[in-house]
Amino acid sequence: MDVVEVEGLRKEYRRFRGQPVVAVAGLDLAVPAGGVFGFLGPNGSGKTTTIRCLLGLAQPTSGRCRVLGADSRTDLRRVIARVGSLVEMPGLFPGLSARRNLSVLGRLEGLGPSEVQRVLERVGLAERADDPVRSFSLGMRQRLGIGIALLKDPELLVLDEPANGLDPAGIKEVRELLKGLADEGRTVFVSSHILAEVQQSCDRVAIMSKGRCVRSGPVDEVLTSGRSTGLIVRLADLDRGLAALTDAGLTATRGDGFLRVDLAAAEAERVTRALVRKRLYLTELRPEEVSLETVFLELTSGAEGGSG
Amino acid sequence: MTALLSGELRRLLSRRMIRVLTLLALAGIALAGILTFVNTEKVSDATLRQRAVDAEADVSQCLQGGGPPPVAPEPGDETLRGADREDLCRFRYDRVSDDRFKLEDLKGILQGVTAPLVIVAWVIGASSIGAEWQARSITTLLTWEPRRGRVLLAKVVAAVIVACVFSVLAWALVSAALLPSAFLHGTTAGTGGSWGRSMAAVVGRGTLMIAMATTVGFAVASIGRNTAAALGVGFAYFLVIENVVGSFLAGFRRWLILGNSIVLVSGEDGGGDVAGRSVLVAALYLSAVAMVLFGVATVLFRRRDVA
Repeated sequence: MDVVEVEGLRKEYRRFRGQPVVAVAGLDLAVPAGGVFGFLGPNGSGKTTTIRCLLGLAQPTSGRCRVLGADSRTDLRRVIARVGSLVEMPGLFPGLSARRNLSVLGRLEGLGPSEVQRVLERVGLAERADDPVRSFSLGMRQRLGIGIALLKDPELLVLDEPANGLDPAGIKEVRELLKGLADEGRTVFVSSHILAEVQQSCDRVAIMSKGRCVRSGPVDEVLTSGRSTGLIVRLADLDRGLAALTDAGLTATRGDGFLRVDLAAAEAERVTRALVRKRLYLTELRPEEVSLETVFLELTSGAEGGSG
Repeated sequence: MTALLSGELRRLLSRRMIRVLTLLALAGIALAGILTFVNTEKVSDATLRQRAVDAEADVSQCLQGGGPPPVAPEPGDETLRGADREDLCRFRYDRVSDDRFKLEDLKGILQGVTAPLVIVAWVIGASSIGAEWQARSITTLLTWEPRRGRVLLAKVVAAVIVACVFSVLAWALVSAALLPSAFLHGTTAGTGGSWGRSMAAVVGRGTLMIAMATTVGFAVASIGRNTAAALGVGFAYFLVIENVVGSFLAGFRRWLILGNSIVLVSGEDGGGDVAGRSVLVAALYLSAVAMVLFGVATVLFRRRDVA
């Protein structure tokens, strides 16, 4: 079952003068239950607008959003207790303490002090729980925002840039938190531009560009789709090595201090055999690493792809 | 709805603005009480009677040509135009100094205090929603309670409750601050049952006025999504539109908010600047203005996107 379904979502913002701005241009998206789903895209690609439409904060110009089976436009109340969310920077009540911020919202769903305390401990704010939020750093506010999203003990978490304002240790904690939540059987839908984090914590991703989804699927598939796999070879004499590999019928190219062989990692033996025949010895042989950042930049630098 | 309203009350009461307004009000009330006490004095009935006799003697002496001459009318002074010598003598000498504080006057004082309280109510109403837009806490709240109509209703009710309680406490404290002057430096004459009822009516009408001012401030800030917008619109309306329309279009005065507010607070039919306007009609008209503005704010809040 898909916990988030987006069909033909289009969102335009009207302006006093000129053409309307198209924030989302016909987005189709399906997020299956369970795991961490990364929602990626450069600034202005329509991520936050999509999340706002999902949470009923913005009305789609056309198309449909469904969350846990409920239409976001008309039926959200039915499922809102099962959805925790954080949209951009958390909107907090600065005069209230962290505990009071949580308890005021928690009461709307009948949640008591024990649930509030559990969340404060989970996001590492138990020691500052009774300080006013206006005295909090950006990172602490972000933690509290995540805490607000967790308070309902939700099946689905929708988090928009949850690592914003966090230091490296905080980012690591968020990554572990997201993984932990997914391990508990929840679905985490997280938008982010910190691609290294997404690559480490997400099971599936969708990449947005110019209001459209240009690629989506399991992270491994997205990383490898549309590109050949390769091996990186380092040795003392690159010229002789290149000749040896070419003579052996392999496709190899010379890089800066290395050779790239167009070959799957499972066939690495063919490389070593070709080089040994010419009495050339390796200093390094490894699969070429394709980072999400590379794929992301390729897909979003002016590319107009179809949704995957 | 109870949980929503309770949360809104907690949030509103935690605002620094409420604490600042409370402190300012307490300081102002204390100062008013002290100044009133210092500027009043205990005068016995015998002393007052003697002062009246002395004043009458001065008038008689003046009429007979004795004592300092009566005040001559200043050029352009309409008050004493055509006055004869007796009028001038009485104008100068027929005055009995009475520096007692009269508890009977409390009714007028509370009516006067209502004007600044209406401004405070406008600020509370505007700030209660304007600050939420600024802090984006409205976004957080809507991810917990997506029924926007309920959210806005709970917020305005909370703002009205806080503003009304604030005002009632302010009236009570003003009265309390003046009691030492009334009992030690004044008189409680004229404060019977009908006075008590008229005082209750002053507080009742004032509370209604406060509720409407809060609602209007709230509605304007909700439409503009900004506290400053609501305050700016308020000042622009009262300083510009009320003055311009009031000055040049006399027929429209009956539809101006200020005139109707004066009728309502004073409790006198045809009071203020609106001829023939009854207190009931003024109350109904102001209520309609508040309700229409709140209705517009609700429709816009339900339809517009939330950032």
